[in-house]
Amino acid sequence: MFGPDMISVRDLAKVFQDKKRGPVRAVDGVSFDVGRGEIYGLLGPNGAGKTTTLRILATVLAPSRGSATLDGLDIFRDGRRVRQRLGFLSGDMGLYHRLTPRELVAFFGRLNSLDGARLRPRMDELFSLLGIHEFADTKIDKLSTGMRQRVAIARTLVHDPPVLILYSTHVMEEAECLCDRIGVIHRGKIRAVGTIEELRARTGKSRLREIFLDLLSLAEGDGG
Amino acid sequence: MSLRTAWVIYRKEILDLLRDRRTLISMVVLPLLVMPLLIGGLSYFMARTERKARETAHPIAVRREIPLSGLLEALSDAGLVPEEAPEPRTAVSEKRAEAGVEVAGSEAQPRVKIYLDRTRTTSEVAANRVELALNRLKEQRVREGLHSMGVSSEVLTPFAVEKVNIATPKRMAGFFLGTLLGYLMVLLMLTGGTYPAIDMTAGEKERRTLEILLAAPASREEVVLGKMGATITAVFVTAILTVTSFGVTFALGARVAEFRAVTSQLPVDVPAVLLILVTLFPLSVLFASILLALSLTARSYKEAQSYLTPLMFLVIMLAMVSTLPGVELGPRLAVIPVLNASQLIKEILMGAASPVTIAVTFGANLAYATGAFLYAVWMFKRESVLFRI
Ligand SMILES: Nc1ncnc2c1ncn2[C@@H]1O[C@H](COP(=O)(O)OP(=O)(O)OP(=O)(O)O)[C@@H](O)[C@H]1O
Ligand SMILES: [Mg+2]
Repeated sequence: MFGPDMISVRDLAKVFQDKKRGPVRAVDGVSFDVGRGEIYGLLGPNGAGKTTTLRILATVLAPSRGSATLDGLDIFRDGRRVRQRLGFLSGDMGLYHRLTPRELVAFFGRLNSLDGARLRPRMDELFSLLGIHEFADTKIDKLSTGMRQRVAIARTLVHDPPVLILYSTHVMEEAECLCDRIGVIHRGKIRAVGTIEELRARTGKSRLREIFLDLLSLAEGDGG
Repeated sequence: MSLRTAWVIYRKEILDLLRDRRTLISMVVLPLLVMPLLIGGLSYFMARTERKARETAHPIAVRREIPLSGLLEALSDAGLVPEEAPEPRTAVSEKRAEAGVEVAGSEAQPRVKIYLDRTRTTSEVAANRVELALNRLKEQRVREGLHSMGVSSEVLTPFAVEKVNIATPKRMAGFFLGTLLGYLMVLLMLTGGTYPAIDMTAGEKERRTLEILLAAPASREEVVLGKMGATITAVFVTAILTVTSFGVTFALGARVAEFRAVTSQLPVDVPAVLLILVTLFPLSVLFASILLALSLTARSYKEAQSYLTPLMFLVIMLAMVSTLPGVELGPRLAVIPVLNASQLIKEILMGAASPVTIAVTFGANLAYATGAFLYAVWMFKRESVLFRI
């Protein structure tokens, strides 16, 4: 159904040394694959290890164990090229508020080695697509939340990355209709993977929220 | 490592910090205003006190239980205004007179008391002048006595004593202004870099932009280099603006009568300014690196500010040493950072900086700057610092 693996994660683990809690196994042996063109959703409760996993994939954090490739590139050895193939969008958008959308998107374009000749038409195209033109030269701190979201999307897409990492902290129903496949993560381990139908069949529940709770209670039963 | 990418980051950081009001105040407004305000205020104050001292007549309350001939004339000749008063002491304490004179004792052996109030500068000045006048009167009497006995008055001065101030006015003005500039300069530089450094590190964490930046293709080295460059720029621009405003204040001040008291001997010339800036460059790198490294360990603006407070105190203390009289920059003191820069600025303005001291200061600060720079780069590679929770 999808092309060869775009993301391939093998036995990934991350241990944080926390001053109060001691060693924290944020990610504890995670493996999964995402095909070309596939939308894979990583779902889990607070503290499950989602952010940590994605930060490792974005080469922002180094794993304590395991390996991962992105578009065939090793995240460890080919950090820069991995990041060039990546669009990274988080829930809180992470925009520089004193810049205008044009300055911000151009900055990330340049970081991705887009020169003026390629950057300008690309920004034009994105700004039209997302309706940013009217406020392209207004400072971001003057924009509404919706406008900022569009700017964040433009920033994520400016270099036309083949892999998108999007993470937000709400609305499970979004995942239900968007994702081709879902991995349920809990306490640093993947507890179940499948299409929404497969997960339905496995749990006997129909709504994703119920499926999710069901799988988590199974995980609890495993002893965590 | 690509310098091009570091340059992209540098330009963005500069753009960003030029839009931050706090940075603009500490980096541009403060350095431009402090010097004219301080020097202007000081000149005005000095000129005023001097004028006042010249213009005001000091009323002196005088009471004579026994006559002392020539007293009133002696006081008047000294520019004082003697006035008969029943109680000189009360007159001084009630501020009706600046000083009081009371003549008591016997006609053969009169005793003169001078009343003054040491908490009032004007009273002290007046009392000194009274004393001088009385001494002159006394000497005159002795001379007359000796003359009547047929003794030459030369016995009064077996030898002559003269004090000669060898400090040129330029050197004195340089000492005074150099102390001021040397101290203020390092403080302004540190504050000039503080907000930019916090904004680019803890500020990025607080606004959650740091991880987005790190997920972009730029390497950690390129990110630090861009940020470091921007912070160094902020610190050094502060230094340039401070020196410039210092120089301009002088050039303009020399034309204003009120300011001339301070600016008449202009110790600031272009070579001096350039020499000061050259010696300040390594210090800018040192400050920028420490500011970045320290504020990177913080999770928020507030936290970063609290980390930087002890640094501020340390720098103030080091800079303060150079304001002490008698401190001279030998090769040993020249290896103490901050202090060496403050002191060198002072010596440059006094025209007394030796090439050896300049070289040692520059070299020592360059070594510290290199160390601090590498430390900051290393900090940027530590994820326990970047992602502290
Ligand atoms: N830098 C860090 N230092 C210490 N512990 C950390 C660090 N980052 C994450 N953790 C811990 O690792 C575990 C996983 O955190 P993570 O942020 O990956 O969870 P998450 O699935 O994204 O949770 P949420 O839904 O709340 O965002 C948590 O226990 C968290 O406290
Ligand atoms: Mg998270």
